[in-house]
Amino acid sequence: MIELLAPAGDLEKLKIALMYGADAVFIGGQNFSLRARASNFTINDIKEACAFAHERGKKVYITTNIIPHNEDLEGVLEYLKALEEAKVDAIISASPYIIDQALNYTNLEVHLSTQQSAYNTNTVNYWYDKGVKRVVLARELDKNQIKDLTAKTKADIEVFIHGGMCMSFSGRCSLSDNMTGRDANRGGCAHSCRWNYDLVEDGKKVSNKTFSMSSKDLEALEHIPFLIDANVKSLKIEGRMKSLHYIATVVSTYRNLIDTYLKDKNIPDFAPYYEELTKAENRLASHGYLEGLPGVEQQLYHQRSEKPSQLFIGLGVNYDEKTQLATIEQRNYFKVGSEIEVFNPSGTRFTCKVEDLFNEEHEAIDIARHPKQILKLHVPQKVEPYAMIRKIV
Amino acid sequence: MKLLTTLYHIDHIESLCKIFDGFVIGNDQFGTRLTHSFSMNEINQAIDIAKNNQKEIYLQANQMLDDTLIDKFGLFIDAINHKDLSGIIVGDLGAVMLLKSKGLTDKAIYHPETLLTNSYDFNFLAKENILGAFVAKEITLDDILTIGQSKAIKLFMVGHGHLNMFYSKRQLINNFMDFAQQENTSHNKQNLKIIEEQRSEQPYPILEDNAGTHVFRSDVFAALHHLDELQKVIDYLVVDTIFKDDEYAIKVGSLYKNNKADEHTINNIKETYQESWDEGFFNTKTIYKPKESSL
Repeated sequence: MIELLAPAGDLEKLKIALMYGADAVFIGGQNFSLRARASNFTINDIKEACAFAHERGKKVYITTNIIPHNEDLEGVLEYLKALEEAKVDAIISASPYIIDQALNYTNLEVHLSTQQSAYNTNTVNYWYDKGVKRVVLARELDKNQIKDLTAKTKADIEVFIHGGMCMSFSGRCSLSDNMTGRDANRGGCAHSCRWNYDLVEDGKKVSNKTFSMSSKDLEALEHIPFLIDANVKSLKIEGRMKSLHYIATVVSTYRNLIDTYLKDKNIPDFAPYYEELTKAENRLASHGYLEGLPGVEQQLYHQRSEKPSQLFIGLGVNYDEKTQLATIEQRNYFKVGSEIEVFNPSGTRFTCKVEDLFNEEHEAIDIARHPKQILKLHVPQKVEPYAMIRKIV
Repeated sequence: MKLLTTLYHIDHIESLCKIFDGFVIGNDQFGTRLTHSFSMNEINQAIDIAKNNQKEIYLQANQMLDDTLIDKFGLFIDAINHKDLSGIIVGDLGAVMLLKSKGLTDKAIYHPETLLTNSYDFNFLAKENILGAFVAKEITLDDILTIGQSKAIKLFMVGHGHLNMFYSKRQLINNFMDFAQQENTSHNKQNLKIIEEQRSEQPYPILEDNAGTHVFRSDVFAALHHLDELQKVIDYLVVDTIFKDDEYAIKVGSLYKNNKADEHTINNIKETYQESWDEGFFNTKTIYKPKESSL
């Protein structure tokens, strides 16, 4: 069965990802993980995350994907054993040291990180023969190459389907190291590839336009049926630093698409899926390498992305069916009279107008302006815990 | 410690033989960031010249290779005089496995740019009996020396030149020219740089070749002042002359061969080639600040 794999920067996002349809999540611990600025998990957090996921028949993978220097090697095995004890389902690693420690001294399942840029069958099979169960492919392969490769290996294959794109072969870039001192392969990438530059030839500007290497984000909606049929094992959404609303929206969109395709073997119209994604983000997107070498259409040259079509204003807490009173946690400004959409983890949704609003003391208020304030409002249908409340803008 | 150099013209091998122990050449079907793409005939010719001069010669095939290119690379290896090649420098683990399938792991030199940053990872292909590997450019001199103390294979490093810091498969200059609605006359040209607004004093050489787009460090990395320490552990030090010429190899190579950091000569080279030198990460750790562990 195909797996939908989602990112999570903290426990709340992890729960959201799983509740909105992810089969598994990948998270960073506090050591040996990239995305140093993401709010990474303690071992206790990881235990709680695994318990939450396993109760629902889902999985948690831990990124231990730095490229370590000598000074980083100490404590790796101790950390891996703690992960094993926390009952994580796999680690995602790039360093042979971390991989071998896990394979030789623990029972952890090991996935090869994209930081190794596995780009051909030989590489995938080398790691599989070592004991690595799954390989995250390099983003530079097109969908036909992915299909061919999947047919030539026993390794489970994981492919990126949504989110930001490394411009360089992953793991092979030291722009950040050289330009800012921040080590890209140890979690400090400054995204120097997305900065603006002048391109000069023999000291003279080649164009009056500003040179950029930046890429539009990956969005693979229309390629999901192909990737499923190609026997890809896991479809990966990128973005451990993304918001709750982004995760819920993107995960549920792909979940619906995957389920529909598995059931009907046909997606007659992708438009509703695109429309749904724009509720959480409206960034310029492309198919990345899936249709071949990216050209100018896949690059990002100072074009502005549009704002999302809906604004995340609150998170569902509970609902009293007798009184039709919903309790929510405020996340963004809204007021009585705002048109809202309630989007439940179960997939149900409805729109309504905010007719009234109360604070925790049950005093009527007109405006919700305090972050994380607990509020109540009357709505005609059920608001589930962790429902996304969106303002229609 | 042996001294290798890249090359622009095989006619210059004889004169470079006075300084260097060997040469690194490649063909742009499989090599990238090359000084020059040599045809198969030229490569075979270079192999002969090197052999006649009791010098070593290495094939640079450092592209990331998809399955199609892996197959073509296999045919290329079959066709050249690989028996007299001293080694084959590859950037892709899949290429190492291809060489293994041909019984040529004893010629394989793994050069994954950024990845071999610690003693264990540097040696991880030793059990495959590869010839050697290039240590990462992003670690300190102390780390290199530590790795060298426990090396199980030959230790290569780029000791001098513009070090690469970005490798994209995309044709980024071509895409930009499309965006600017200009003809791309800059493919494979070695005279391009990019300048970031906040770092205008640091123009970065950029090269678009058939393998993709590459950005290099602004300053030339020079290990010259540390040869006494390096030669205790380094087996092969490479002078990469990309963006320069074979005359540059002679001038710079003489300094390294004689282990003589003659400031007058150095300044003369810097002035002639309009370049600055630095020591990369030899004395500067990259920043890595993990949070406190819960363990």
